[in-house]
Amino acid sequence: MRGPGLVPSLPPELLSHIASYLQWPEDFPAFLLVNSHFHAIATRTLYHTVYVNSARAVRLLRSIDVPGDRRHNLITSLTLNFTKNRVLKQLDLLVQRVLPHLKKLKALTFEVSSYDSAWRGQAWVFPLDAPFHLRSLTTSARFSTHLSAFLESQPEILDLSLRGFATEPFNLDQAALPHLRSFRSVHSSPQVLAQIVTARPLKSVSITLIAEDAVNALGSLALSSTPIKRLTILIIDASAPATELFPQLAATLPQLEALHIVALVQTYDLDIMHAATPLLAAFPGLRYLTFMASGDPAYDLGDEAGVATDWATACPSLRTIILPKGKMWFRKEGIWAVS
Amino acid sequence: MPTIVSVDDSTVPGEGSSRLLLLVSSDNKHIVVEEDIMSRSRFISKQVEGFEATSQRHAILLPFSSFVLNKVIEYCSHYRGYYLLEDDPDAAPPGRSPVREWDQEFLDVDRNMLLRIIKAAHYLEIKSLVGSCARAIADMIRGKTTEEMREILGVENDFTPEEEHSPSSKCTG
Repeated sequence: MRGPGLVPSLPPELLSHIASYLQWPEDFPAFLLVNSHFHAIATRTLYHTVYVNSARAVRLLRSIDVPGDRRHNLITSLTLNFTKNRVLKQLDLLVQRVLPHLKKLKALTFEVSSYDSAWRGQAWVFPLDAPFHLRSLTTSARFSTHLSAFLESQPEILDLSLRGFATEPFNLDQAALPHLRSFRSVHSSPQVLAQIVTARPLKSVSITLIAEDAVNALGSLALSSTPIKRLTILIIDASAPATELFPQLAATLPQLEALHIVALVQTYDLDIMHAATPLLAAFPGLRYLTFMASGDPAYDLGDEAGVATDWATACPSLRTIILPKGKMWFRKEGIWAVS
Repeated sequence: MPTIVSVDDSTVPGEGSSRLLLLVSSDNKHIVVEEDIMSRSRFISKQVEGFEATSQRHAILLPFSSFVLNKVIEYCSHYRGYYLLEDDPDAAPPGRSPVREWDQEFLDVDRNMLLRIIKAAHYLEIKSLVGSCARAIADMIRGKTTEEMREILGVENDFTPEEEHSPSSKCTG
């Protein structure tokens, strides 16, 4: 005796969402056999977002390296993760052959090892006359003229993450990426950052910062065509407290709503955090603040509550604060509480 | 499009941040709730924007029962003031919601109720709640045999014997 069959009455997008919480491989063999309707849902789910690495990637790519394979049109998101491998050129060529089959691809992630990013240019695997229109691209392939040409051929990209080394000339046409709303980079120089930010409608940027580049890098963030609302900064040196960035950030990005600073190589104590309090008054619309650093193990959550309260008093628009102990603070019934 | 009816301003005050909304369930129960609580619902937020454009406030008629609506309001009240990434329209990531302990207890209900909540959350565009419900439904069928999954999902096997022995042929063409 079956139940009332309410599950099949759910819209397909909800069924796919439910299926996305199942685990591959343990749940899918049984799920694929439920019936033809759920078989279609399961197949769409399996191929909708494909995340594969090393040997599995080779098997998958070889299995779909066939013109006209029906699975080509199911794949809308593809992640190829080779960060733990050195990729042979034969595999690069396989990626280059398969990508032009994926007409429905919207999100592509192609990650390579630091060694390959530093020593091999692999952006040539991206087809310049691709049939797909990406919304999202993440790659650690090295910056190159081919990479800029590929970006120029993908005008619908909204979210871009370039994590490769920038050791080659990189010149992006001013008309490229007209809708870009978020950009993440790891190794971009201030000059490359300025090229990507300038005159594009960015709302969200994530960068890695070293002290000697800070002024130029932060200055380039003012060049976007719309105000940047969300900024994440990973600080990788310990030359100056990250809180010293607050005045320039407030001057450059006064409309910032979310600021996330991660400075794990720096050590903070309560005095430095309290000293930063007046600097936060310069952010009139800041709602979400993260400040992660190697904290002083001697202080406790009660001490962090004091910091959260002080910061929120200086910057009353704040809604949540994450401090070095990793807890999220928010205002509840008039006081700052931890989640 | 939802059905809307005009309401008297005295029924639904429109003052500052504590403005109230009048929600009407399919069993014709009138529920007054603070607008701030329901701001997690993109559907409700869009309705409120519409009110502001026309300077008229209306009751919002919803196609599910007061029992389900109250459950959704309980969820929104619990997370009032919380930042949940899935509900941020500027940052909404694709993919799965994280495990939230409170949600697991909140959704410890029978299957039919769970399905009604996910439908309501989908209608109201509360992505965090849709995600938690989807996870809860998936948890019900995880680790089960095909026959047990059919029982839980309430569906019959419609494969031919040939297809059942080689179903993968249907997706690889």
